[in-house]
Amino acid sequence: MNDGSTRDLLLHSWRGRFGLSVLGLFLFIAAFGSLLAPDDPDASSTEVLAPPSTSHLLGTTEQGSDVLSQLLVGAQVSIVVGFAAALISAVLGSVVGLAGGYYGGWTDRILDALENWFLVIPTLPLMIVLARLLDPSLTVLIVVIGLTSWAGTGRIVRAQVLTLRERSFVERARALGASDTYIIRKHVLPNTLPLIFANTVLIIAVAILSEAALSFLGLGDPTRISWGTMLESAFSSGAPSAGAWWYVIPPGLCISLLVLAVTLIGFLFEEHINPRLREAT
Amino acid sequence: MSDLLEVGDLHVHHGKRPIVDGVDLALARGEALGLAGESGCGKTTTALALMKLLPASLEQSGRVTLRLEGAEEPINIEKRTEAGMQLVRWRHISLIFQGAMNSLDPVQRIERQFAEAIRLHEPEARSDDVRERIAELLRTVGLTPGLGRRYAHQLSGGQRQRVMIALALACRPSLVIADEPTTALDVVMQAQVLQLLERLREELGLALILISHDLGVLAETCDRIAVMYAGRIVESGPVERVFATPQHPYTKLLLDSLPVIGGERGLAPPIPGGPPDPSDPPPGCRFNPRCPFAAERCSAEDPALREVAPWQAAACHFAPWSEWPATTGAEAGSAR
Repeated sequence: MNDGSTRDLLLHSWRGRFGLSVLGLFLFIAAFGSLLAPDDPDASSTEVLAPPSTSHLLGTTEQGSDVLSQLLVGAQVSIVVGFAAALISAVLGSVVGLAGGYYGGWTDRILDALENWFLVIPTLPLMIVLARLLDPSLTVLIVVIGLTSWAGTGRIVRAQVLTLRERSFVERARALGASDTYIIRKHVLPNTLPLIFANTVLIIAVAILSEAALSFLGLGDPTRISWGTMLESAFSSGAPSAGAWWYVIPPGLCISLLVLAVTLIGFLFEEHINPRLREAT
Repeated sequence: MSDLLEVGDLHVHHGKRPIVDGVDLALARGEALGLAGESGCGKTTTALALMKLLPASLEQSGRVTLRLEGAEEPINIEKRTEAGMQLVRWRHISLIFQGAMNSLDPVQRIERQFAEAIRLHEPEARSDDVRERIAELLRTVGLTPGLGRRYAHQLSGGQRQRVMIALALACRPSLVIADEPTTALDVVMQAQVLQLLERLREELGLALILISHDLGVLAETCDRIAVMYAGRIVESGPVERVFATPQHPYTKLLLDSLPVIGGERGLAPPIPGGPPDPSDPPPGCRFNPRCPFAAERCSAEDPALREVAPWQAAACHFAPWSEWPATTGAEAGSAR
């Protein structure tokens, strides 16, 4: 992928522009959310579940805290967990896919079985079990989501490596006197990178959703506000039945928008490297 | 002076099935040997075996000895481990692959791929020197050094082939194996690439093994020629002698199938039938089912490669042939 076409790709379609702007906005909020927040997000007051007003633009929680402030601060957890877990997943998937695809034989059979195992097991229950076994914290969330989402990447990387292995520039590298690890590092990995990248962008979306789901189930980090924990408190305090839409819709909408933005960008990259998908648009 | 390369009784097996079945070769310093034969007769497999580059599913056995100038000990390639081979590959024997298009990494600039070849064998080389050498290599094959900044897809087919040739020279090897270096090129480019190979051989004193199914290409470039059939060498000798007085019916028919410019118009006679599966050869001489001169003895006894004329060897019971019986491809075809 050369730089010019990547830029064109992102800027010359509404999906790219929308995805980039929304993602950019949320990245900004994640970085500076605590400075932007009008109130202390943890401060409680007597104004419980108050509707939006000039003093609280998005109303208050069951503790009387400012919803907007919580929303702004909560972005950080979603973004950090999403990107960090996707990174773990990308590294794991790449290593397993590269090793299995390149070396073949028993290495491949064992790694392939492992991939199948992770693909077949329903991810959410596995995440719940793992998160339950460990003390809830941000790191645990990241590791658990990363550990359960790499199999798809591994599968895709393996398939690509299987075809690359037979290409004659890899054979030529061997004829140059290069070792296997050298060939993997310098020739196979760079040729797989666009694929890993596109796939990882999509994993970010999955990871953000997973974080929200786990937090909603009460398995998130109890010391940090995230959109998932906001939804959890909203539901456990009966906000929806009390008609407190301002407590439920903003975090839900933020999760949806962020996931949508990341997914659109991911799809663009995926279409770019797999022209067969382009007909669908 | 002893030969640069000696191959003795080279076998390559796929499981129990032989692909290359007892090949002997010798190559002097600076000599060009042509390896001819139909597709699937084991030419490329033989070449890859010389560098131990065969895929893991193929097993090779037999002696491959490389005697470098000035070196006291010969390199016994058959005894080298993978790590040991990494020191020999490209440094002493390099390979111009079939199809230059796919032999260049699509995501690396050309110059980086040259630097890679040089650095793998001379890790301490200075960047300035490496850059200078890359420029010179590109000039040697008639390309402007600026081309090094490009990617493979930005080059034409002829340029890519030249890049591959320059790349093969990067570590100044003693032997270059060129596997169908001109197959994908048009006739004009073919001639240019062959001239280039010949010039480089003269200037650099390279030994060359040229693999081609095109006898015309080999006639132009090589000193000696070895004709392979079904995993074996059936005839070898100096190019002029083999072309003037072929001593194996297969060679004879191959030569007859070449169109002659200024000759009679019409289709060149093909050799009827197809090559046998080397893993399941016909009894006796492997060529006997397709040979228009085959006699009873040919399907019973396997002829050995033997010297039938000075410097010329053939694996045919009836060699040396002083005169070929009058037969044409058409008759041979109807005889089947």
